[in-house]
Amino acid sequence: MDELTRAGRSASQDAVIVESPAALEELLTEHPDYDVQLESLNQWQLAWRRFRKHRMAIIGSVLFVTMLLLGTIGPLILPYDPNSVPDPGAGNYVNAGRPPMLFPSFHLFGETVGLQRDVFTLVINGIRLSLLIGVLATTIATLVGTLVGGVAGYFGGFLDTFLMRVVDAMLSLPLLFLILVFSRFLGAGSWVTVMMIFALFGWMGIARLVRSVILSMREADWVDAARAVGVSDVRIIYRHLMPNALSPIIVSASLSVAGVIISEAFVSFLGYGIDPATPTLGNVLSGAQDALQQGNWWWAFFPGAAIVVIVMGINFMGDGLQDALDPRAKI
Amino acid sequence: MKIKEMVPKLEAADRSVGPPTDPDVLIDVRGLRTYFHVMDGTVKAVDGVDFSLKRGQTLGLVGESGCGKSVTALSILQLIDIPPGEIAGGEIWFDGRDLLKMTTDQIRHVRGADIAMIFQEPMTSLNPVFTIGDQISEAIILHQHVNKKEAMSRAIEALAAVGIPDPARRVKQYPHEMSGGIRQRVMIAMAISCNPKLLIADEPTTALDVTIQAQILELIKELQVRTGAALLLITHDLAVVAETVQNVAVMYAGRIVETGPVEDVLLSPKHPYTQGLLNSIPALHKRGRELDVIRGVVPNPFRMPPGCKFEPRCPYAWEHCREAEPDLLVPPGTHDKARCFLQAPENATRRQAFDQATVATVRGVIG
Amino acid sequence: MLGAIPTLFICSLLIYAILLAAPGGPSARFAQNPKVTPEARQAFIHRWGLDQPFYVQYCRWLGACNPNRDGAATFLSDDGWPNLLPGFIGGGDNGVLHLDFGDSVTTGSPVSDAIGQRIPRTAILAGSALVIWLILALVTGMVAAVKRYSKIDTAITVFNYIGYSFPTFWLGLLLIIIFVMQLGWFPAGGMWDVRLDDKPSFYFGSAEYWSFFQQHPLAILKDLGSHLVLPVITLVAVSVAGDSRFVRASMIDALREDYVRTARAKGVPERRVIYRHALRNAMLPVVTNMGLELPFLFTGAIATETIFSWPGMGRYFYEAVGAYDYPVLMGILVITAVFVIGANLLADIIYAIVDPRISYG
Repeated sequence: MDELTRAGRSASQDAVIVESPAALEELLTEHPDYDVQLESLNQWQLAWRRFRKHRMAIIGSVLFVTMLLLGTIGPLILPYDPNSVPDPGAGNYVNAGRPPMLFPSFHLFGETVGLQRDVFTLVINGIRLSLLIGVLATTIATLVGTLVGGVAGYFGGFLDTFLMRVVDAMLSLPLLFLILVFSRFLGAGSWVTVMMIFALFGWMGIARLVRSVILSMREADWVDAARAVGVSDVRIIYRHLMPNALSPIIVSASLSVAGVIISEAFVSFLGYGIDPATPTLGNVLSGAQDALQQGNWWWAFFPGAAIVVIVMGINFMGDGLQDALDPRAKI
Repeated sequence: MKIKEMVPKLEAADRSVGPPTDPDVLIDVRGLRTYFHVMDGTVKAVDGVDFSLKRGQTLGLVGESGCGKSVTALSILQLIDIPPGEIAGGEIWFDGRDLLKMTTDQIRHVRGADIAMIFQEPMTSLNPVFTIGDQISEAIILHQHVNKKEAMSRAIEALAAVGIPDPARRVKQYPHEMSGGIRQRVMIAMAISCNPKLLIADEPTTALDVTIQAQILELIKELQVRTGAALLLITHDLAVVAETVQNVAVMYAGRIVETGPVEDVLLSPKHPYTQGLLNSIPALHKRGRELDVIRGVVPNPFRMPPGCKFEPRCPYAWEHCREAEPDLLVPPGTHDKARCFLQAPENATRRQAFDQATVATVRGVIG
Repeated sequence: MLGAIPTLFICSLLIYAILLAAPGGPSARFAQNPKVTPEARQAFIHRWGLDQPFYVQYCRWLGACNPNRDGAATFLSDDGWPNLLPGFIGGGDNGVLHLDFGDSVTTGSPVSDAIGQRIPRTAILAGSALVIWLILALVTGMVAAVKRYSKIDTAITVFNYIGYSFPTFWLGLLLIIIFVMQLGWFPAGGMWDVRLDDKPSFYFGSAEYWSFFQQHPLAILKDLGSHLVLPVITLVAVSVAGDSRFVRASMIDALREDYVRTARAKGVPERRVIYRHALRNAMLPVVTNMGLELPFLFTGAIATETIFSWPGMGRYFYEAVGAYDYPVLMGILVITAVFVIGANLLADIIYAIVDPRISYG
């Protein structure tokens, strides 16, 4: 059923929305005097309906939103400053200007070796920065990629060939290697720079995608049909091409966020990424491997587990988005 | 007296347990029910279909899209996707055995060998990565147990039999190297290669050009006569039916609503639906008038009308039609069965009214 | 096919531009070092030709220009032929085209030697991983597709969804926690057990190693095997999870096609329908996809090699980044680029062979 069936008495009664023929049947047997109206939904409303019913999408959204909340609100209510270190004299943790702690020696996820920082605090703070970098880098990369792909697809010719050769060449290089190099040489530990580096190396996939969508639409029959009826080019781009292109872009972008989070984690873990003064889930892990020898497994475990939960949430959501936005999906 | 008591229910009489007694009957479909269980409910795609074919006989199964005719054909060979689909009931007697009770292994031996099927889309029905020679000889090797070389030469013969020029060269080509018409001939060659007793053609010409359509239909007819196979032709095109088959069954909403010899059904249709179909064919003598259409739409499969399934659209329906569903009724003295209460003698006056209007139209189509 | 050449060319240009244009340059390591005098720094710059214009530097690095001459005649080698050509027919002997990647800044010895020594090690890791990746992805994807909705399918799909979300390096850490720390089944890293033979000249590829191998082949194989297990799993797990899903989707699509219905209608046994009719068609997008995923085997290798201290090219790259060792970095990038482009080409060729609708042109 591509439609929502709205049933209700014409004038005064509130409209009741039913979503399946069986439910309509029931409703009408109870209230035979109801008027039945069929409403057609547009593409986005349909997609949202499908998304809502998609099991994986729901699980993913829950996971992701939880992590999002933890990341944004968490650091504000935690007792420990992520970089606070124990003050041997006070027998307690010294933290800059925060209220006295309720559980001074309690470490939910244990402590790190060496500086003895609280792992839980580090993880919560790390989630925030990792998510931020992921989302920002992907947003920029998507914008750049859409621009490049759109230009290449729309204008064609030499510009197209040239841009695509560059894209091919860049995609042939192992990007993680380059990101490592750039991060180390140019990054200087600043998360903004590192984020820009990720954006710099992340636009190619989207460019290819957008270009292929635009190319396929140039050839499409329905574009000719629209033109034949007198629709202007600009309107075609705005009302027809864009919504069609938007779906694969959204899916690709959401998966991109996951990719950036993982890559950033690795680069920071190696020590070439973001300075440990601002924790991310990656740089929190540097040094964790050596700690393994001393029997400390929790330092290595929890930040990574957080990454897995975030990425799983994103992947599930991305899958749900893909199924929901699929124009061939029924119901 | 109720109508149902007056008119003999031929279906009930025919429905015996066990294979048909007449040795000439090749296939006897009884009470076939195929349902599909989807998210919103259950679609009863085929809900009680009965027909039979004698050896060498031809039957056309006609109806709009969605009436269940393709599903009927696929059910015969158990080609329905079982998780959403389900063959919920019925018997199909073929050669003394019930096809619906067979296991996949058993029915495998029937498929292609005793009963062969031709599909609608020649563009996608052939595997793009194998040569057509491979695909035709595959069936031959499977069912006739000959070696590859022998199978290939029989494949070449089959190609020649369907009128493909230079078959020895064609046999090594891939499907994408051929036009739609040739591909359909290849499908037909594949179907007849093992000398089936029953040929099922599911809208074989719908996807082809009109000129090619005529050729393919000719070919099918000729092959059917030559090999003596029975033919079940499925189509939505009444003209195709008129030219090609001896008997016709009209389907609507998963049931057969009218059946009989083709001249009877097309020249004097008894069911209002068939009437409507024939009326809606544009004809020269209707020039200047609005086209006649059957008002309304095909019923929502989840919300079927309670009584006769055609009642909401029927111009002659009255209250009784909403309460009960008619069986296939045949007035004494005719061969034409129709699922309509108008068949009952007491409703003869209602019938007279629309009989006159339609005869003129039909003459325009056939004559 | 010839399109690969301009791509390679642009790749090399990018590599060179990226690395040398980065602020700091190869002499950046000396910027903080008070012991290095400005003259020494200048000498360094001059020695490496860093004071030349960009295109000259690039040309020399590529091997199309002869570094021994200055001025307009740089395109010709010492023998008078274009420097581009291979050495044995009169061309030059410098540069990437002649497999000369310069000398390592840290060790001073030729980079090509160092890389050459490490390639086999990464090859063993990546090679084993590739085989396992192919087999596992294909098998699990097919089983999941054929037995759709069954418990096996659900299990495989769940595994895929979860596995796909793991960062490779963390998976390695996790495996170390479980299998090395808690269970002690496998060694924590490295490629060979130093306890086998104490000498420093005992390392993979050395003469010592091979003679030991000849004497105790089983011990070496067992040793190598035990060192390979965890790294290979790490390298492969995430890719398998992703590809298995793709194979499954591809198979499901193929099984829905009309020609599968035709095959069944002909009476073809179900087994044959799946493995002959559907699989052949399902493989086409899978081949392309796997070809495109090959670069990720490399990026995965660097994570695996660093976690497990595997002395291959990935780890070498990591060390070189730390040491600002440009020649090594560029050399490794060029080699990987060539490899990836070659792999894509191979995938295209295989696709053209397998799909009769494609004619190579």
